[in-house]
Amino acid sequence: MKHCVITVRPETTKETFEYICTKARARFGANVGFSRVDDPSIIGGFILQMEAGVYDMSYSALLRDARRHLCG
Amino acid sequence: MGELLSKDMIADLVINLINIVILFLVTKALVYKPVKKFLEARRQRLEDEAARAQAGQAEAAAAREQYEALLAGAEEMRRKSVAEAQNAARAESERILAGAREQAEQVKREAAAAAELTRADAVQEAKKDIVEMAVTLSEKILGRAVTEADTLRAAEQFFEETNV
Repeated sequence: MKHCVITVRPETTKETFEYICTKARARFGANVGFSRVDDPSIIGGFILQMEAGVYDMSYSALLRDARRHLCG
Repeated sequence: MGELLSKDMIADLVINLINIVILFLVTKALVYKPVKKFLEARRQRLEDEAARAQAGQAEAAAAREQYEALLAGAEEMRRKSVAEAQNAARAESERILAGAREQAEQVKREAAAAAELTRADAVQEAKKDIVEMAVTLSEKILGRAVTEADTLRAAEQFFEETNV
């Protein structure tokens, strides 16, 4: 069984978390277990860690990319 | 005639004639010859002095010509030296000026490069500060403004657009 860690901001509702889990299960297969990590620093969006892969869709990552892009 | 010239008178006359001849001979021997000799010597001395003076004049003229030639040579050399010194000074001053101009240009270029670098650094710093401020502000605004709908939209976008 694969394990997936999803990081969201603390205000994220259970429904929204479940929605992300459903989508992830549809993409990665039914044999996936999920755990939730609350992190206010991500601002918004989510971070999905699946085995060795990390998919950062957080707003903090967007801002980090924007900062790197603008400052060089 | 015989009455006019008596024997005594004739004797006197003869004696006088003899006296005159003796006086002439004595005078010639004692005065004329030394005077003539003296005059000859004087003439010779004057001629010698004139010849010496002429030789001296010729020598002086030759010396003067030599001196003038030397003077002309010296003047020519002086003119040449002055001209060479002027040319050398001109070349040296031009070389110094060219060097100074090159140095000034170099300093100007370096100053411009430094100014450009400083300006670029300042612009970069300002840009960083602005971006930092904008990002910080965005974080604060987003921290308050992000909703559940935004998180759902991010999830939809991720699963639709990516092929993981």
